[in-house]
Amino acid sequence: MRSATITSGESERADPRAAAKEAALAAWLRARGSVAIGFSGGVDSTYLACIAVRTLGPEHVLAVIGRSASYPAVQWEHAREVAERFGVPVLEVDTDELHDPRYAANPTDRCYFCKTELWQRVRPVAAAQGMAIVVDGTNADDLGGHRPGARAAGEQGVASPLAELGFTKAEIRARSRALGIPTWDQPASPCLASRLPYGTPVTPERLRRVERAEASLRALGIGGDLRVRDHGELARVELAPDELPRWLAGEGAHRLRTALRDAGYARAAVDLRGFRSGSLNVLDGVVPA
Amino acid sequence: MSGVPTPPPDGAALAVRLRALGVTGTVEAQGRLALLRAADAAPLMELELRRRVHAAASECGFTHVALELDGTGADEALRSA
Repeated sequence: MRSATITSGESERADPRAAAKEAALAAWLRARGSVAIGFSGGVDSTYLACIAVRTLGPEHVLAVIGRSASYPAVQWEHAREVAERFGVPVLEVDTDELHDPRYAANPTDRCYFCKTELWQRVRPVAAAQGMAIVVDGTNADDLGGHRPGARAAGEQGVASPLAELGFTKAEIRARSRALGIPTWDQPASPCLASRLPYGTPVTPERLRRVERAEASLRALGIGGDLRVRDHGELARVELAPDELPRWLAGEGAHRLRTALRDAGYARAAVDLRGFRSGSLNVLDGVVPA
Repeated sequence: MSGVPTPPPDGAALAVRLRALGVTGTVEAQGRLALLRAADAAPLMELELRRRVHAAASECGFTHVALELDGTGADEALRSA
């Protein structure tokens, strides 16, 4: 299958600062010679993988997907599709964080244990494939806030070139769009465990229920940011602000409630403020409101 | 924000505040989540009202407020359609 080709030129003239960062990224990659990328199929890691392949050639790039019950199946499908489209070599590893009681207990630093598991799986694979360094798609906007996964990355020697070079999320989206990378407007898609309040044990059954529920709501035609927050028997749905009015009353509310009931939730509610990234951190008092 | 104590979540107080906004119903407190069962959810389709509801919820100690879809109101709306 012929791979899509990334070209720039006109896009660089339209967005010179981000284009300059992209040039710096290429130089950063060339200095390392080869990279293994923790690849989720999200906006950041996809952009990084595409630039790496363009700069180094596919023989010097390896995108590693970590698979577990917390990784949404729909995201995995998109990750494989975009990797194939842009000629990004992919290798999958199974991660086993759900069997780590420190992770499964769902503490506020859950991500630390998850990312430690991921990078400990990725590093030997990367070395065996002759990759010089392991990198992730962390960007400059990620550097604040509650991010225990970043501590794990640091401890495991994983580099974050997008953050290091100051790429904002907006710049990554803009450059992705300019280069024809289809993830440019993809909503963020964190792991399914992020739907469970801290202290609620992470189990495969709970994760599958959340995944079923979100897939059902997408099937109703809900676009944009969407989260089904799991409060035991209650599903609290966070929607993009422009989606909210459709689903609060009448037929929309009925269809939403039916979909969540069929997914396994006895009760259903719609958050009146809509989607907020990290809202469970606020609810659980990890960060201030 | 620092130094200003956060009130404990008070569902009863929030229900009173919401009635003043024209939103009649019950409030169930689940920690800092307020679950609202409204007699008529349609007015909440308006953004400004939702903002005022959230502001009232914050002042009553809640970080989140969600409208419960209990099926009753929605079903009645369908039957009368």
